[in-house]
Amino acid sequence: MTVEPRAAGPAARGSTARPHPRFLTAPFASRTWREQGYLALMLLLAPFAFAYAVFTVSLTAVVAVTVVGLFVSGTVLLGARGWGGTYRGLARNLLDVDLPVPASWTRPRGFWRTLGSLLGDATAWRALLFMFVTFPLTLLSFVTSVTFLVVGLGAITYGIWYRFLPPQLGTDGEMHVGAQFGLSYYVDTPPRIALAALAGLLVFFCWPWLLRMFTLLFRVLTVALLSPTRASLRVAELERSRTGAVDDADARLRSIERDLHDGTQARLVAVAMQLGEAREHLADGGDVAQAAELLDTAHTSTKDALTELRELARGIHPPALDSGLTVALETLAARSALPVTVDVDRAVEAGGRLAPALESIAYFTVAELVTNAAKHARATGVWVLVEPLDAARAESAHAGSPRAGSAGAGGNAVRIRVRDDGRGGARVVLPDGSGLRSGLAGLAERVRSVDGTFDLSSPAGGPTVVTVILPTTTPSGRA
Amino acid sequence: MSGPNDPPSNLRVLLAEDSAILRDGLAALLTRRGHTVTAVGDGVALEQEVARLVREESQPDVVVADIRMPPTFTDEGLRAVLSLRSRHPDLPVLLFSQYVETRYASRLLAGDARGVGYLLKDRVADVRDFVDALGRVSRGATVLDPEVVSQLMGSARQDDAMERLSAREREVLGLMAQGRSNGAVAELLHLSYGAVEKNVAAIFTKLDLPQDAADHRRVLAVLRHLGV
Repeated sequence: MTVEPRAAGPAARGSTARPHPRFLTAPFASRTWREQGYLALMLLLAPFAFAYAVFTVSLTAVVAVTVVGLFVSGTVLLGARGWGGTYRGLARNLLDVDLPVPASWTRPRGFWRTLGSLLGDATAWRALLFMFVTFPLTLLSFVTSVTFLVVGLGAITYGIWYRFLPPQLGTDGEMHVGAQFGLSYYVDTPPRIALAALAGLLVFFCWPWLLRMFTLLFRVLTVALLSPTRASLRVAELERSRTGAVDDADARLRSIERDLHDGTQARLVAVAMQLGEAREHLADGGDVAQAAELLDTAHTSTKDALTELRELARGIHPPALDSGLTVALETLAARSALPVTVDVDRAVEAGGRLAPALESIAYFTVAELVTNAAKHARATGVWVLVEPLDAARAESAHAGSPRAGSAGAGGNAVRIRVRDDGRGGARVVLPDGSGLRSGLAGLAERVRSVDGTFDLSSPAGGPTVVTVILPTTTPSGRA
Repeated sequence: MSGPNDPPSNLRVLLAEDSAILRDGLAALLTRRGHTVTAVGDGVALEQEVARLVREESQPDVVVADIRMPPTFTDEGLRAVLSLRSRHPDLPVLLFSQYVETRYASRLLAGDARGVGYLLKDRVADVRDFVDALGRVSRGATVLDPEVVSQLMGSARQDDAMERLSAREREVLGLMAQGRSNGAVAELLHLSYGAVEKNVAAIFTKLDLPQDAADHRRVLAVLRHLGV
């Protein structure tokens, strides 16, 4: 299943990027005309959308007696998602309402489940409701707004065109050329014409605000009925992070396998070869000096293989992690070629050890960032700060993010901040299909797999600061 | 230090191996035994080198290739070797890998199986056996690693003809698959030479193999045995 990247970004719910036009310039602002355009396009769509909606509902009602009929109407219902997409596009282009796209419909296994999922597709039903509701609203708002616009413009220019009106006999017995209000009120004297122009101006300048009022209704309806529900966003996020976690685990296994294959295994084969040859030399009473030389090489190779194996084992699970995150990070700092300052708030492990998976993610995140700082950022020092974060602060620290709720929901979190004084410019490079990706993307993926957040700030010239927030209470449904 | 039983010295060996440690070690080992070694680091270089040597009319006596090599570290060596064999069917090749993959073995043996070998890298530990196997491949024998053989046997059980073989005959056939001569089989199984010959004849009969060039029949028996 695919989820457009937009779904992951901060949801700009109904936000308007453009500044509000002032009263006097409002009728000429592009925003006003785009809103009028929106209504016009909605009017074009409305009859078809309404017909589609009525058709879908009545079809469902009629054919519901047969299973095949239900399938047909379910498929037609699914088409409402397409309408929803069109409306979202209109709202995005003309109303500046940028909504995340709901997760696409995925066919579940099994006949009855497919049917249930078709007919119970909330996204489609909500789109259908939108099509129903907007039909009268579109008619009303378009007619009203166009009336305002036309009347306003007409009254302003009345002084020019009123003279072409047919003359008519008034009750006062005189011929009048002009619009008639009531029985004997003719707009044909200069003060009255000026009054008409004034009224026209008033109407004309009111038109944008009327328009704004109507489009506000459309905005509200669009956000309410065409955006993905919170639950579906959460599902999409979970599916994405699960895929990420699986990919990440796979990538790690691959790299371990490659290290074993190209490093240790090759070295051991070489050792076996050298020992085998030395043994032959000795058995045949051959060149003892040659045998000694071979043994010496084999000895060196064995030590190299041991070092490699130790590094590899540490890469899988650092032994220091058995004594807790604090000890592991201090060991990491001590082993690092760069000066690394580690500050772990005692409160982090005050209530006992963190979950092993979290400890491991925290440790490897710091380890990789320290390596990056040394390798890419040319830093002279790294500072690591690990501190607890209570739920309220986790919320406020990440308000506005779609995962704001998850990082602190019902529990606490740990914030890890890694800063270096290097040259900055680090970027999270998304995988490009070649199987290679930046280490940062892998880290972010791993952090997300436990519902954490990964935040990178690395302006050119530095410093690079990575803030990772890991929820310490795992959400239900995850071991 | 060359004894009378040693394989012919001074083979021209073309070695394709990406691990520098192994490449250098193997080259040194073979050079010490009087062979001439040219070494390359990947499959493309291997094909180019063969093309160059053939142009210079100094075709190598045997090609030794690692299966997993750059750039993708999957089966570059095998693909290079298959493409070489399609152009030079008489070029002896020995594949050399850290893993046994029956799929690779089947692809390798699908064509003419003469002058083909597939050994685990571990086998270099027994230097003499390894060099011996290399010599046999260069002379046109088929040499398969016992590991390859047992894996292929695992996948070739359904064959009716194979069911007719006795346990001893299967054992003999397994050793034949490793490129052993009757004498070597006799020695390894502690049988008399005549008993081995009898077993081999029984195998040929049970597998319905025609009576022509005996050597080729051995290869056919092995291939039937492997279900290739």
